Amino acid sequence: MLRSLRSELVKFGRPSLLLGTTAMVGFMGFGAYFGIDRAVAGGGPMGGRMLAELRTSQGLVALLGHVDLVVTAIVLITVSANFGAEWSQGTLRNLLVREPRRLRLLAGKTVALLLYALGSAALAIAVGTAVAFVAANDHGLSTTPWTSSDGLSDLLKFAGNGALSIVGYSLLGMFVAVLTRSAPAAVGVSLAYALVVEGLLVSLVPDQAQWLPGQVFTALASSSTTISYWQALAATVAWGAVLLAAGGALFRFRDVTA
Amino acid sequence: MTSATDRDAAIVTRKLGKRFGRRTAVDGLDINVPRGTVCGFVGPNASGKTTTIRILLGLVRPTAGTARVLGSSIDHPRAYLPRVGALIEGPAFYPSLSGRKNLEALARLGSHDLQRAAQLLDLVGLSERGDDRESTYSMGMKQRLGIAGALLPDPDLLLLDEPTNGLDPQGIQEIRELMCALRDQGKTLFVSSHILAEVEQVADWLVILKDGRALFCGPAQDVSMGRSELVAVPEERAQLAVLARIVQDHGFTFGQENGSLRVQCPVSFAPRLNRLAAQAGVTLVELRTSQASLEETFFELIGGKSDASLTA
Repeated sequence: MLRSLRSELVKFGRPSLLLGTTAMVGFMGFGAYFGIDRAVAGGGPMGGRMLAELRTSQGLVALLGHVDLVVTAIVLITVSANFGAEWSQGTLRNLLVREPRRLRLLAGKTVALLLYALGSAALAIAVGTAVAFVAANDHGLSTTPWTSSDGLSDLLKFAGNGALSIVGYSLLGMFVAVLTRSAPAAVGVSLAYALVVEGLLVSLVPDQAQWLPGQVFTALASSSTTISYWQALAATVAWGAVLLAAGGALFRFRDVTA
Repeated sequence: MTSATDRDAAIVTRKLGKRFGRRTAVDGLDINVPRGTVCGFVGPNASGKTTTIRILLGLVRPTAGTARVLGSSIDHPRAYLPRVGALIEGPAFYPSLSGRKNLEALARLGSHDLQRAAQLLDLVGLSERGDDRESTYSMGMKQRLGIAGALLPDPDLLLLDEPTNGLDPQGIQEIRELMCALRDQGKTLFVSSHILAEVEQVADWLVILKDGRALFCGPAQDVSMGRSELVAVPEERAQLAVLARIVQDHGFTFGQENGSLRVQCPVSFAPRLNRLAAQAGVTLVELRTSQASLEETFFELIGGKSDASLTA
């Protein structure tokens, strides 16, 4: 597995991955500044509620959490595209000749992309936090509650739960890519499933649909009120195991004709 | 078919088969490829060449039969793939990485010496463009990079699918020389190609495939055996009958064309025919041998059309 991981690290310099990281950082930074700017500027019940929230110890986390969905979508796109491209480009056949132990190859690639996703998300949070402090100072908003023990604790929980959520979405992207064996199909199916299919199912059968993978990953990251934190955590771990096992089985036994 | 013993063979297949749904791609394939040869693997489109190569590389599971590569069963690809290099269905690399980085990624995966990437780029004539993105390479350059990738593990067996695709004549010659040099080092090359003239120049061993089955497997020189002929032109047309009687007495078939006699026989009969003709008072103004080309033999075996015919 280490050989596979080291091989993947060589590919980290590709523009597509750098673009993904840049997009995450950019959206988080922009979202942080824009969120404070709009909250301070603005009127109406939404603006007032947001401003009130920003003045609490959870203000920073609430601010960053508004951009979370975009960052998650970027992770899903990048991971599924990266996996799917091995089939689309035909590079998978070269990899399998050099490493015929398919599960080790898949494991190394999965770990590499998890490292990428978590590293990029961490950078995005760091930049978003920095920008939030700058924006708060620019707009005369006190950041003392954010740096209190409660505030820092909330931020750490946000980062930790966000990391688990990103692991879940990354494994979902991996599974869809192994299933579809195509970069465009992997991206399309992943996004369609996460953004549309689950949303439809939630509206139709909410009690059952809340246990779908995207729902539990999001619930874990955003402190859902529909299921408890521990339920979301357990379900995330369970879905992660299912996606790993299913993706591994497909990858292990399917013919590679790409 | 001629066969080498399994022990000596680089590749052995026994009743190998592969079906994709209702379609049979490989159908009871039996071949032996000796070590240390350049084996030409030829056949029409959709004859099962690429599927066979994929089975041998562990990319596709067979639905019937067995195979061994370098003495190990294809059920355990890890046992032989570290000694195998392959270029399958064209080069496949990461377009946004340089040629060097692409090779480095493969080298790290296979635990090969990273220095080989630089050496191989030099060998295939890409050292000056090694740090350029693969997406900027011409088709010929990508093909060269593919060959470099196949050579990374310093393999005992090389499986090359259309290795000269996209190369200019100089490049084709260089690859041909490289293949011969690798063979002389004791390596085995299994080369699938549509360019029969190229295969004819380098192959010691030949496998001809059609509809997933081997029509021929053996020394390349044997494929045209029995498909050679002599063309004898007497000084006077009237002497053709004398020549024809001599040929008939030796049990060979012949045809007449434009004052010449075309005899289906081994080329070794030429000096004997010359002597017998002289003894019978026939002066031959021309006596030449003609061996069927691989292309002619190939089309005869697969039942297709050829520009040249074997008989008059």
